[in-house]
Amino acid sequence: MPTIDDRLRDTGQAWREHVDAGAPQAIRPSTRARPSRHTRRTVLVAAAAVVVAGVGIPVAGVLARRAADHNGSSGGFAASCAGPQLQLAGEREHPGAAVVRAGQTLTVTGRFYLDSCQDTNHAPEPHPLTVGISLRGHGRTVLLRTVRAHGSLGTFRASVRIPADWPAGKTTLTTRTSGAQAAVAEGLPRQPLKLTVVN
Amino acid sequence: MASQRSGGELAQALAVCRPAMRRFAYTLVGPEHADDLVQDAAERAWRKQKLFDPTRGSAQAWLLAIVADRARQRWRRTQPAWQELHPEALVIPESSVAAVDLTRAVTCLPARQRAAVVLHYFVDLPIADIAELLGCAPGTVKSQLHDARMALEKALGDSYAND
Repeated sequence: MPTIDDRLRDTGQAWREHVDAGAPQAIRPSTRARPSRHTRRTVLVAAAAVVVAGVGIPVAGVLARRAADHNGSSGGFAASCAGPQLQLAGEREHPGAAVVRAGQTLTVTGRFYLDSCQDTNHAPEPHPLTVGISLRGHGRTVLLRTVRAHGSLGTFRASVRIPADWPAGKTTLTTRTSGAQAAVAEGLPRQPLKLTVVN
Repeated sequence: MASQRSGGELAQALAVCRPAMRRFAYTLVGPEHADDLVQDAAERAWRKQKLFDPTRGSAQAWLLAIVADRARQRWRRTQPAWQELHPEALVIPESSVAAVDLTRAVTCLPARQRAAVVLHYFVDLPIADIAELLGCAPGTVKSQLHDARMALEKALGDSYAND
């Protein structure tokens, strides 16, 4: 009777034959075949011209979508990319509402503040964004500071001070991004950091 | 200390290790993106070749670590890439019922045991390279493989018991 070790070896061998059969013959050249910037611009201009001329939105939509596909940034977001995440330094992944004092200085960390979602083969390399950290609550929003995310994971660590005159009660720490492709990050799901301020 | 490697040496290492890189990539990102991930990792290795230190492990382990890192970054995961197994990774067309049962049982193993089994029996890596990828001692890999075999025997029934 075959042992489990034998079974694993046999199955592994069959798996390797299946996987290796689909392998390309050689590592492909490093340059990916992408349309030139001129081509993309031409298609985008053509799409815009169709809209201006009033020929019809559906035609323009097709052209614009084709241009976006070639550009590698379709404006949509696949579920496989995590959205920007903000949390208190040292907190666990999904903390409860933290209790802070007005005037207290907090250290927050963020990750995945990137300008694109590299979830397709056409997507460009993501770049970190500039992040504005704001306090929102009681009908007002106050920008506390702006930081620059860095690295391939778009991380940052920043100290922010809760205004001394901030009213007690529930409030949220939120972020906004700016940069060339900020709209991409803005479209991704995010969860504000919930705080309870006490005086 | 980082060693200076010539481009020829890296090209040779890439040629030798490419099957293992592709199989490993296949388990991480599935058939659709495996080749792109290998290409991505090869480009990365080319740019970072001066960082390779042969005293810290084999060229294959280094290249596989780059594959894992690129997969992690591609999908924006913070945990090591080997903790995830693509749903289509172990699918073998026209395989026997026993093989289907076995691969299904493998996917149900705890992450570290599953990774050890996949890397050893499927990707066909030596214990030393698996240890480097998983960040543990070779003895720990052997222990994980032993535990995994016990768990698979239990899951699959008496017909798989050792002689």
